[in-house]
Formats: sequence, C-alpha cells, structure tokens
Amino acid sequence: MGCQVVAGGTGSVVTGFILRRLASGLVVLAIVSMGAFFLMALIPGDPAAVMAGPGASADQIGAIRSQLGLDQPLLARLWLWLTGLAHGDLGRSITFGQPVLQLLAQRLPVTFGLSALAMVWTLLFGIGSGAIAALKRGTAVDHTIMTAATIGVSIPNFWLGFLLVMVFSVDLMWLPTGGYVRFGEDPWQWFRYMLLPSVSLALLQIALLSRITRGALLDVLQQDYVRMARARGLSPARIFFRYALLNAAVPIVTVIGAILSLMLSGAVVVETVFSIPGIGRLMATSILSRDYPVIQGALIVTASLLILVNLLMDLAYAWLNPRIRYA
Amino acid sequence: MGLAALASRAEAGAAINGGGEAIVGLYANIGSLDPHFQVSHIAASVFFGLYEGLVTVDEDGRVIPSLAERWSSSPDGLAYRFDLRRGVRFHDGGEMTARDVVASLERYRRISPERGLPDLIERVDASSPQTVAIRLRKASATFLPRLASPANPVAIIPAHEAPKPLNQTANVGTGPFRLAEWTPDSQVRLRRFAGYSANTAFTGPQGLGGRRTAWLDTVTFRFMPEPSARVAALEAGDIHLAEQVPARAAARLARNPRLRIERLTDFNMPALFINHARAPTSGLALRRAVQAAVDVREAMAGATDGAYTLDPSWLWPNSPYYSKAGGELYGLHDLNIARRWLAEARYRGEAIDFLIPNISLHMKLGVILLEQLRTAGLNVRPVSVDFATMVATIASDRGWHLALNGFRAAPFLGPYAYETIFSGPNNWARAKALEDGPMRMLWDRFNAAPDDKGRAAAWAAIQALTYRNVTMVKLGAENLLIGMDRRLQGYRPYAGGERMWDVRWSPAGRVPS
Amino acid sequence: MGSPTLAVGVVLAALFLGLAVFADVVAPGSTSHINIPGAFQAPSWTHPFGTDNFGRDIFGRVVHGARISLAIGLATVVLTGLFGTILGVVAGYVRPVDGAVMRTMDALNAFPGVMLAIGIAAALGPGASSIVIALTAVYIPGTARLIRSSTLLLREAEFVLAARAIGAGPLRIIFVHILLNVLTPLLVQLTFVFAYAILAESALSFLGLGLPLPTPSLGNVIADGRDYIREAPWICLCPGLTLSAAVCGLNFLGDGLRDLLDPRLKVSP
Repeated sequence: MGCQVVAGGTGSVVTGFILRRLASGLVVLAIVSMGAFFLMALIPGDPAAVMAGPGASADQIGAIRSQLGLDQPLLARLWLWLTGLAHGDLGRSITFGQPVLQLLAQRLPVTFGLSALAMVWTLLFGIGSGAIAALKRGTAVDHTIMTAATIGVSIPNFWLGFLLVMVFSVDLMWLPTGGYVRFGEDPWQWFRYMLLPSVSLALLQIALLSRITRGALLDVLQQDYVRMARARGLSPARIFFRYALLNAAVPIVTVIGAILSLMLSGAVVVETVFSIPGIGRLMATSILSRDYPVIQGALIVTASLLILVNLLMDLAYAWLNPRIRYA
Repeated sequence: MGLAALASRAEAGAAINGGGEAIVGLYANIGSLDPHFQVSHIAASVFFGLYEGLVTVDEDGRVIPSLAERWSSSPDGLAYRFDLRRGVRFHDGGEMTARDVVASLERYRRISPERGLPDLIERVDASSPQTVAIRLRKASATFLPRLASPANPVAIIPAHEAPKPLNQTANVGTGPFRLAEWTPDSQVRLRRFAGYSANTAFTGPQGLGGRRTAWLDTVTFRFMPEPSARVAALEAGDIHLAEQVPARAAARLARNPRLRIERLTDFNMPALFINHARAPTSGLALRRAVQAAVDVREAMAGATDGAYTLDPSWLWPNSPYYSKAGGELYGLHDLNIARRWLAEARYRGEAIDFLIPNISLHMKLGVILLEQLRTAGLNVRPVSVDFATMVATIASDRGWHLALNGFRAAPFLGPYAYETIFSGPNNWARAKALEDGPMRMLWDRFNAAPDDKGRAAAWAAIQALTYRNVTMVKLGAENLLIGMDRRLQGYRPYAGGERMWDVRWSPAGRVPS
Repeated sequence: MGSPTLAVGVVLAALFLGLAVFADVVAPGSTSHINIPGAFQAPSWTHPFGTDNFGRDIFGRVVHGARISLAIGLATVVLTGLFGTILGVVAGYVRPVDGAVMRTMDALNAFPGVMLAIGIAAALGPGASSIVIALTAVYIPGTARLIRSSTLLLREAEFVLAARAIGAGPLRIIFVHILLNVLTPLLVQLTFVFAYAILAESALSFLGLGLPLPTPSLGNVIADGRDYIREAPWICLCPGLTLSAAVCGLNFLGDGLRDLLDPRLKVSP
C-alpha cells in the first residue's frame, strides 16, 4: 500500500493510479491463487480417503480419487483449475457436491452480515470511545477507556464467545445459543442470532480502533493548524469535526482494511463457536476435510475482497488528504 | 415461520393426532445425501427418513422386507427373485417399479466405494414391472444382510435420477419424509410426504423399516458439532432433541422437568488399532504387553465421563452370534504381566507412534491410554492428526504403530462385517499373517457353515484368535445419551441414527415455542 | 499514558515470564497424571485452579502451558523480527526489488490470518514448529511494511544523505544508521506480535490444529474445557483469565515501551 508524495493530482492521474493499483492487485491475486493451490497440494491426506471413510481399501480410495480427478499430475490439475477460473468456474466441492461458487454465494452474505454488524459496533464504539479518550486526555475517563481497550485486545474471542453464551443464552435465556436466521426471512431474529457473535467478533476491533483513533486524534489536535483554529476562536465542536476528525480519518481509514482482514480471521473462530454457516466456518471445515476446490475458491474470493477493499481505502485515503498524491 | 402459522397447523394436526415441527441437534455436519454413497453413519438420521431399499433391518439387525414384498432364492443360492410392493410412490410423484430398482442397483455399483455387494452380484434384471431378478456370482449367506445393510444402504431412486453422478441427484426417494430444504453446513429440513405408502405387512415400525408413519409435519436437523452448544440449545428450548449429550450435562438435564434423557448402551465401540507390519508392534510379545497394560475401565470412564459399558465381544449383546470368547485377555490391566511380555519381547525402548485423531472421544482416550502405556514402560510418541490424515496413514504399513478408531456399524451388522477387517489382503491390522493361515481358515469355516450354530462357533473361534494374536485391542462400548423435550412421544434411540417417524407431540404441548 | 501503564505491564509480563520459566518449581510433578476419581474438583488449596475431566491439576497445566506458549511466542517474534526486518530493509533500500517484495507481502496479507495459519499448520503437520512457521508467515508482512516505511523515511533523512555524501557504502548505512533507528519501532511492534502470537496459538488449539496431546498450552487447556463449561466452568475460566492477563501484560508493556521510546523515534543517532 505505498503512496508516495509526488507532484500532481488530476483526473487522469487518478485513473492511472486506479489502473496501477488494479494491476498490482491482479498480480497479488495470481500469487494468492498459486500459493493456495500449492499449499493444498502440500497437505498430507486427501479427500478421497476422507470420503471413503475408515477401513476403505487402497482400491476403493483409488476409485474415488479417479472419480474426483485427483489422480492426475499436479500441473495438470493446476492447469485445469486455472482454465476453469478464467471461465468463472471455481469447480465443485468434493464433500458437498455443489459448485464452489454456489456454496460461496450462500455463505458470503452470512459472513458479510455478521461482519457488517460487527463493523457497526466497531465504528460506533471504537471511534466513539477513542474520540472521548482523546478529548478527555489525561483524565480518569481516558485511562479507563484505554485500559479497557487494552484488555479488549487481550481476550481470546472464542473464550469470550463461550462466556457470552453462558451468561446471555443459558442463564438469562435472552438470546439464542447459536445458529442462523436469514435477514430476509426475519430481520429481528437475524439480529438476535447475530448479536452475541458480532460482539465477540467486534471486541478486538473496537479496542484496536479505539486506541488508533485516540492516537490519531491526539496527533492532529497538536498540529499547528488546529492550534491556530483554536486561537482564532473557532468553537471546539467545529474544530473537532472539521479539522480533527477529518484528518484523523486518514489513519483510521487506513486501518479499516486491516480490520476487515482481522474480522474475516476472527469469523473462523466465532462462526465455529456459534454454529453460523458462514465462509469462515466453511474454510475451517474444508481444510480439515481436504476439500481443495472450496478452499482455493474461498481464498481467492476473500483475497479479492480484501484487495478491493484496500483499493477503496487507498482511494478514500487519497481523497481525504489532498496532500498525498498518486504515485 | 410465524407462531400463528404453527398454531393453526397444530390445530389441523390435532385432528390427525400429529403435526408440528421438531428440531433435532445433530452432532456432525452432513456433507452428502447421495443415495448410494453413504459410507459413514453421519447422514443416517436424515437418510432413512428420505429413502428406502428393497430390504432393511429390524431392531436387532435381522433382514426384513421393505420395498420388496417378499423374496425367494433358488436351491443353489445363485438366483434371487424380489416381488415388489405395488402403488409405492416417489416424492416426485412417479410410481416405483422394477425398472427403478435395476437402475438404482446399477448406480450403486457405479458409485459406491463399498465393493462387497457389487462384487457378489452378476446381473440384475426386471423380469416384470413388479419383479426383480438378481443373479449372484457365487452363493453367499451375506447377500441379504449386505443388501439390507444400514451402513452402506442401497436406496431405491427413480430411474431418471440414476444416470446423475455423485451428489447431483435430486434426493428423491420413497420414504415418509421428503427433502424440503438443505443448507449445507447449517441444517436439513424434511417435510412429511403426503403420498407415502406405509408397509401394511407390519403392524408398527421395526428398526429402520416396518410400518412407518410420519406424524410430524416438519423435522429440522441442525448441525451442531459443539456439544455445549447442543446442550445449551436444548435447555433454552431452541431445539427439541439433542443427540450425544455429554454425560455430565445429562445428569444436570435429567433434573430439568421439561426434559428427559434416553440412553442407548450399544452405540460406538472404540478400539486401539495396532500395526502388525512395523517393528516393534510386529512382535506378538510386544502386542501382548500393550494388551495387558491397557486399563479399559479407566480409559472408558475417563473418556465418556461414565457413559460406557465393558464387554469383550466385537458384537453388541443382542446379536445372535454374541460371544465372550477370548475375554480372559480383555481388560487385564496387569502391569506385571505387561512387564513380563516386554522382557520377552526384548523391548529396548523403541519409539512407538500413536496416532490420535482430532475427535473428542478419541482424544480423551488417547490421553489416558498414553499415560497407561508409558507407565508400563513403553516409549509411546503421540501424533495428533486430523481424521483425514489418520485414515490415509493407517491404510499403509508405515508411519504408525498404534491408532485410535472405532466401530459403529460392524458390531450391529454381524460377523460378516468383520471379515475384511480381521482378515484378507486389506485387513486393518496390516498383518501378513491374517491374509491366510488360521484366520483365513476360520473365515472359510464361517462362510461355509450350514446353520447359525456352525457360524456362531466359527465366530467365537475368530474372536478368540483376535485376542490371542492381538489383532486390535477392544476398549469398550460408548453409550449414547440423548436429551429431549418430554412432550415428544414415541421416540426410541437407535444406533442407526435418529428415527423421527412415529414420533409425535403429545396433545398437551404440540407447538414448539 | 504514563508510567503506570508501563509499570503494570512490566509486572504482569514479568509474572507471566516468571511462571513460565520457573514452571517446574511453581508446579512440580507431571501435568499428565491421570486420576479419574479426582476429576472435576472445584478450585481449592491443593488445586488452585481445580482439576479437569481427567483429574489433572489445571494450575500445573496452565503454568507449563504458559511456558510453551511463551516459547512459541518468542520463536515467532524472533523469526518475524529477523525476516520482517530483512525484507523491509531490502524493499525500502533496494528500489528495484521493492515492487516484488511488497506484492508478495500483499499476497500473504490477502489471506485472513487464521486461514493462512490453519493452511500452513495443516500442511506441515501438528507441532510447535509448524505453529511457529505458520504464525511467522502471518505477521511478517506487517513487520516488513513497518520496517520498509521507516527505511524509506530514513533513507532520505539528512544524516543518511550526509553519510552517503562522505562516501559510506550501502551496507554501512543500513547497519549503522537505518537499522539502529528502526530498532525502536520494531521492538514496540514485536511486543504486540508476541501478544497476537499467543492469542493466535490459542485459536489454533481451539480449532484443533494446535500442539499434540498431551502437551498443555494455554489455548488447548481452554479448548479441552469447552465441553464442561456449565458443569465445571473453572476448567475454561481459569486458563482464559490467565491467558488474557498475560496478553494484557504484554500489550501494556508494548504501550509503555512506545510511550517511553516515542520521543527518541524522531531523533538521529
């Protein structure tokens, strides 16, 4: 993500910037796909053995393997997969039999919903608490918030998930213990099912964002132009929103891409604890059952998403800070 | 669906003494509902509600008719004739005929990794729309049991579905439920099939067959691999039946007035697999040391938190071939004997690789057995592997000495299920000695025996031999505990999965909250 | 944030470190001794954290587990620091390879952390070294990027230009000027990597890809307790609190270090 300070800044440069970023994004994607494929090839054991179950003879496993096309040489499989990829065909899941794209299409909205809700908490409480801490710098409020934030990044999210379930689902019986209801089916139930998981997922991010927001705001509040604005008698609120927040938004926005990556990561664990049929849990179980097409497809899709998000963040970053130009 | 809809359905259901929805928490994810590729028990709960076969098994594992009304065989045992029931409908409306049976058997032959049955069959023909003729390659007493086997079931599906490859059929069968919805990695929903033809030759349900009735409107199977999540969901009323409740939780749930606990003693039979092809476990003396060192009581108690039974037999107690032969070597737990065997084996502390798969029960067994074997003086090296890796490794001679696995189907199916396990070129002990020699002779005796008595005697000898040459070490029987809503009536636990037919809500509490 | 944070961090981290290093003294005896009749005992004087479902002393397992988690964290930090710095400096200083190196880093970064760790750990088989390698792969990009940014800035700093002007070779510039200045942000970063690595190892254990049985680690002691969270909550609670406290201590330490060293970040040697 390197933006260098260089002269310039017109429309065509923006397009050039986008194109360059897209190009590098594609390169990254290519590396990701190769990496995923070869990583899968490295893992011992194979899906045919899992499907055949225990006690299958070598012949039976071999039969399944050729049925699944796994007995072909590595490079041949790689070529097959790449050509399929070019047609938008990600292959078929070995354990589920469904096309990978279809599986992912079912799972992505689930994880997306979970992450979106978690992101809402993150932005709300992360930026909110960080801003309060920055404004009340040095006071007890500041110390409390920062201590809470540090504790927040230290708690393992699966442990937190268990605790939340114990308290809110089993003891108080306010919320369900796990599972999923589609938003389209029943928005209120969706919210009830997503509340605990999204909180488990968001806590780490809230804490992180809180610290970063506070740090960024403090930096900005000390800058000359803010002091000048204060000296000119502008109201604190105006200073805060017009100058401070906007400029602090730069590092905050930068970190949102990283936060998304952390969320997808955390989703693996949280979706497992709460039995949510999202892409995180799909990847975890697919690795264990050696479902190569699913793993490869999911990695490509999540990597593309992250690359896209990073690109958007770069653009937002550049838009927010006109002093940074496109290199 | 809204509460109001459920309530009105409940009222309608009240008239036929049925209705309502039941939600079951399953312990595993169902990956495949393919009618001819079931190799594990995981999908059984859903499978047998959807599909039926020519024949099936009753409560004790005996073969009973299902889609076939009756059958007969030629005197030489090579030709079988199955007369099909009439008027049986598929979920997509078509009527089941011999053509569908022939196509289904052909697909089974093409797709199933289980070769025992296809290897027996020479040809299958529809001699009339209601008759199927099967010709065998050689006479075998195991043909009907294999055809009825719940472990590798042969579902009858419409002929037009048969050409479809693995996992791509429309999941259409003749069972009392049909598939309403399947969200992979989340849940399966079955709905009562209004056009179901119950088998009137029976008075009530039997095992996986008999006269079955779907009382419930909908059964939703939720995949909940986390035991604490299943228990919590049951307590909260999110689900109505939780399978595999941990023993400690069961004790607590039993005190809950809304719930009740059912127990199935003959559920799973974990065993310690031994590699006979690799030193030092290739030596009989060392294997005898392992056998003597194991404390099955401590292992099973610790791993199941008390939900277990001890028994030397490889079959469940209700099997007609049940025997305790060889039991004097079961559960010895005598360190002196173990040390004597170690001395005789001239054991010098060679490393012993112990594969422990990442399944909860096996991990617990592994931890306990590891301590026991080490205390006896064996240099055991634990290797944590995921299930896929273990399966691949134990299919070869290298990379392992001990492994933990278990039997769900074999103890239920009968001795024939153990033939390829304890003998033959792919025996699970990787032992050359089991390919021919005494073990082979005993199996020949079993297969050639003229009656049950002869077979039982041969089986007892086989079992005794597995103890003497330590083919593998039986640990015990894990009990299955099921927690359920008291208001669900008619449910009986079964090793072959949750049977949700002939289950209904009591009149008092039909609508699940 | 002043010295209280650093102080608390140092105390907690030192406690954790002490427990881990002196594990054998604090909790002597075998951590894998099975005692089924003594299972599920609530915390008491003899068993400060209670016993688990096998009757094993949880306190002993936590203490020894802390040692292993510490070792894994430390190894990850060392490798991440080493390779991250090399890659970052090379990318920042040697312009031609900058693109290639950073694209590779981006590729590594594009995999969500836990996914990459699971994939690598599964490929390499279970064991502490696999986890270390997997976690290193996850954290290298962040460190490399940090070092690269610092290198880019420092490269153009006056004292470097001056050094170049008087004819100092690139190696000397790198080692004497750049690395020295990069050390402080690196140290702060690595403190946090340490904390993340310990959390990540616990997540891997929870998912079933952690250390082989019966070796305890903070993560798998919690994971083992999840079946009994209602009936014997101490099996999960005590290790979880310990883990959180340890990671918290490290985070406080990192914060404190950063505040302490902050003013010096912008000064030339």
